[in-house]
Amino acid sequence: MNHLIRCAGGLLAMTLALSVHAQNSALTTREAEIRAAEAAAAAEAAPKVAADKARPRIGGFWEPIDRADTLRAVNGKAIPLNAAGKRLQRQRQQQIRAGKSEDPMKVCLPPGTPRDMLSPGPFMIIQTPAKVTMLHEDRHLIRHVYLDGPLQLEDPDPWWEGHFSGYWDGSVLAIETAGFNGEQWLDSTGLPQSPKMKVSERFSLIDPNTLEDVITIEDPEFYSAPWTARLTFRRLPGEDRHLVQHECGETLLEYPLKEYAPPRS
Amino acid sequence: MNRATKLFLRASVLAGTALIPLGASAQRAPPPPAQVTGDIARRDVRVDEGVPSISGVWIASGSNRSNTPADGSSTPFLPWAQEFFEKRLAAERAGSPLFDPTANCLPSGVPRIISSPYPIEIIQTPDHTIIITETLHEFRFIHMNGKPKPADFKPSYFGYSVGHWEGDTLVVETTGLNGYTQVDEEGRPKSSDMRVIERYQKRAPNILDVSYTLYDPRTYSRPWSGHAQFRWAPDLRLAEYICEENNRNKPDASGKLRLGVEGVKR
Repeated sequence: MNHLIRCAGGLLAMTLALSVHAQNSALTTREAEIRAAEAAAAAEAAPKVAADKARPRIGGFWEPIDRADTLRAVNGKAIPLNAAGKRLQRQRQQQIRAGKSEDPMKVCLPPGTPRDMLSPGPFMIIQTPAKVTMLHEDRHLIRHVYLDGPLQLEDPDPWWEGHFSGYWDGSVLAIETAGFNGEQWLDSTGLPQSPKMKVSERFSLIDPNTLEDVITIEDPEFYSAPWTARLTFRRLPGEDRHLVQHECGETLLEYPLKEYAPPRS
Repeated sequence: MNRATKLFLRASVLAGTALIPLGASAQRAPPPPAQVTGDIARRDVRVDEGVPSISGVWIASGSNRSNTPADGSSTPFLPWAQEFFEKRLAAERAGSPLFDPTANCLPSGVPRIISSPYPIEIIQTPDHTIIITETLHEFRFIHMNGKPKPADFKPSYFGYSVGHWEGDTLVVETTGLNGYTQVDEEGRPKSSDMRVIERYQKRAPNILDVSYTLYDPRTYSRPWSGHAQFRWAPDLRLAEYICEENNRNKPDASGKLRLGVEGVKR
């Protein structure tokens, strides 16, 4: 539905663009109005910009310290799966052992939250006053975290990655995520999730070059209590690095891609 | 995105692109505004305040169905490229389209990504200009500090881009492209020798013009330039985009698509 609206929006945009071409004078007369709106937007942004200057800088390039692909409870105890959760995880592990894993990651579906933080490759955090954006080299996963405050969702479209909202709690970046489709696994052991899951993350700098993500999972469908995991990341030197997107889709091709053009003569 | 939506989108972009290049070539841009501020809350605060801001969410006016010379001339194909293009069009008309990497959720690459018909977000940091597309959740890094392409750079879908400001225009040069993708959906091809120069300029605070010139002597008899235009969309946020939920169209050995076959689960 979202996409239908988007398509309709695209049509509207094209119509607008065409009318801009047709009536360029209309654009010029509106310019003062647009400039005033833009100046107002910049004035509104000013306090956010000032506030961001005082915050810890988690922006930059990071990589996981222990390349784990599984989540563990930070208290050292067993993850508090309930009976339904245990049953589903056991079934998934039987499928893995039989070589019939139905892990959605295998067909390049998005790992969602928090599994994207278990991605093996480096990632970039872009810290701007109104938004934190995370770009992962692995599968070019992207998290758009708008700093809107604690998450408030009304009837969201169920998403693989969920819907994020972030805010600064002192020197901690808190990100709340919910509105999942519930189909992804939390990690490679098949820990389940349901559409009722809520994920709360707290990102903070242990030192300027070490970032931790303390992740709390609440999902009454599969867990008897909320539980917490912790991941740590090491800062990669240099801020002018390049990320090369990893294309999971290439692994699904039966025939390798080849260049269309004939070889250089 | 379900099939009906895709068809609807296809129909709407076909209707749109036939007209956009005409409009773009029919008149020249008015003198650019002297000062552009943009959406400062979407920039890294450490960006030099003298750098023009193009940060924010933008939505394309056209699409990448058919990227053609903006001056209205015909595409200067070399013979193999002409043959490739016509073969694809004929196959599509016959209802048996040929393989396109984007049908397998692979990137559309540079330059096709430029006029992606979904929202894009531009974020400026001190070292990069980053362009994120909602389509296929891609991102492009444009290196703004002159860091050259590493000698061992492996050709990729988006290649390696360096950018600099010439007045109020962001000039981007991209090399290191692989030759797996096309210039547009219709099927103008490219080779891994292609070099692309893009010029981003706000013609008004809410309108971003992008002209791009393609240098590919292995595919085209002369360089040619296309044009795309974006409208500022401050209230829009990039959505989740999951191509893989409908990743069913696999090519056979000859490159022909096998529509709706088994293969990948889902």
